[in-house]
Amino acid sequence: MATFSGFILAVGFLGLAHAGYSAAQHRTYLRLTEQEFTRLPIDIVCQGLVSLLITIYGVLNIAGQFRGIKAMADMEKKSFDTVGNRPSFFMFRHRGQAMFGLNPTGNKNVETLEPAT
Amino acid sequence: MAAAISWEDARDQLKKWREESARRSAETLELGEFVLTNHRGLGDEVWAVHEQVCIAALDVGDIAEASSAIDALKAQFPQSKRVKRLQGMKLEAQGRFDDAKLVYEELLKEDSSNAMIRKRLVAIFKAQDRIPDAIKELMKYLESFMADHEAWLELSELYIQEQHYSKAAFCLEELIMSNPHNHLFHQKYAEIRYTQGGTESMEIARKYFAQAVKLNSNNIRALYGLFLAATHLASSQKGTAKSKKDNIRYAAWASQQLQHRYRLAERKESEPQVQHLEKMIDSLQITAS
Amino acid sequence: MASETTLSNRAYCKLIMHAAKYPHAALNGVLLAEKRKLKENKILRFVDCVPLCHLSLGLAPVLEVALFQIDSYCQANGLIIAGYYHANEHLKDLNPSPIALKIADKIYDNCNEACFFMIDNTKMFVDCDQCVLKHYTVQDNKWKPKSSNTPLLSDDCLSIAADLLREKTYQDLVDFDTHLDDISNDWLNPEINTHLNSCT
Repeated sequence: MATFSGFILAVGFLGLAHAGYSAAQHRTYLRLTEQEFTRLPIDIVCQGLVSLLITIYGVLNIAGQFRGIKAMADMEKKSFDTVGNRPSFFMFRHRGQAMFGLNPTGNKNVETLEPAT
Repeated sequence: MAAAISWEDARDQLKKWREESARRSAETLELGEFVLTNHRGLGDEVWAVHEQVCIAALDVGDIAEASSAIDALKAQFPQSKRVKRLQGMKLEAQGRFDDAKLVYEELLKEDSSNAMIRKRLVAIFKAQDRIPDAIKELMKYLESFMADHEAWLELSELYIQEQHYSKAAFCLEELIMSNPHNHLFHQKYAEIRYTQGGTESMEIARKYFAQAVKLNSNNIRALYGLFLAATHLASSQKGTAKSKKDNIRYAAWASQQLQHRYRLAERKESEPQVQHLEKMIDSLQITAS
Repeated sequence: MASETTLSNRAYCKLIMHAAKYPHAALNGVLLAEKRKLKENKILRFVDCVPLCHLSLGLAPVLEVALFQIDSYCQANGLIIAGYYHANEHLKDLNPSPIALKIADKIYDNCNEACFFMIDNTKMFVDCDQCVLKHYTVQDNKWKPKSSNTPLLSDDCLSIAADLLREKTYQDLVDFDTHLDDISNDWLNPEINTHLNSCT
């Protein structure tokens, strides 16, 4: 899917580049034949617009997941379980140290854990 | 568990936990050991995973695992202050607080504005169960780093532990000012005000619960809070007849929202929880009228 | 004060699982006793446990909502909220915090035989070789530790708890905070109850 979108994007960019080059060529031609420039030929305009749409399609597929437009749309799924965690202040002297079988000195002998006061 | 999950899923799960600062240390350690078997697949992410595994190991008291993670990081980043902080945290986990403090004070001598190290000094006081000292240290920190949301949240939790609710409320006010769209802060502030008690605090609580519901209509705690606060206000002796009527209306709205959500979430196999909710609403409404 | 206090396997195992699921946090919960046995024989037999909070224990709204709903469940099932347990965050801190005492008082107001338990964090091993609870009852209008001469737990309770911790069944435990985060989670933990019934 990613490579297909990349291919579409490349096609879109090439189309835009080609349309721009064609427009420049057209204006040079008009200057050489001393004609007035009023507007670009309809086929160059169409090529430009179609290439733009193709490029937009390619970019949208490559850009990844969109986020909701509301200011805190992604907050709606969150709870204090994660938002309330303060990793910079984590302290390690809790029952997890007793529970997982190793006491704080790294000794597997759990009897050395002093009783609580 | 490691056998049931693919390496890519494990790596993604670790990344998710890293980003949302989840504290699931035993599982992190298990997944981390599995993910680190394929260093090359991780690329530069391997160092973040090492750090995550180190902290998880300290959380479960696995000093050996933490030491090997620190050694790997030190080999890659020999002068890093972040790695030295991990060494300090290892000393904290072993209960060697004075040694940890020395490490941090060394680092602060080199750079007194190192916020992460100053926060560890607060954590040392917490680990020694010296909450008033932790509060003092944290307040000193916040004088210089007023925009640190994590610190304000930590201070509010410490104040709640000490039952200084008005000070905890002040911390949440700072957070709400800088994050006005975060429904969780509004809800927490309202909960603190509700706990404080008194008509004025209860009215503020009701307003902030309502704001939390406005920001996220699925915030169940805020809906419950709105219902309870409005019911308390409706049944209080003070207040005009109009405010009582309004509060009854708010409580009724909140209870309808709750009942609707409980009905949607009901599972056929389990006992319908909506009936406990309805009994609660009925019993409180009797006192309100 | 009750003449005899015991905890069923279900009550103790759910309590241990709650403490195991959130090892880094302070937490609390209530214990439900058979109302008839209590009123008639003054025997406090805790048959179930409802884990409450692990996020902010000091705040009232969640506690009020939980107690209301648990009370309604109790009335429908012949039970009564007669016990409370509390675990502090810090490893060595076994003292009942002011918040724990306040909640215990509230439960005591509802039931005069109520007691509460502090969880001794230093005894929380996966092997569950000893009971982690420190028992407190009201003596002379104050909460005081009670050393019971009769064992609180049945003989096989600790080994069942150890098995559950080793299997990591506690990861599926739902407390009231988890319920409020997603109301499809049932705070009565019916799946864990079924699993426990099959173990005993």
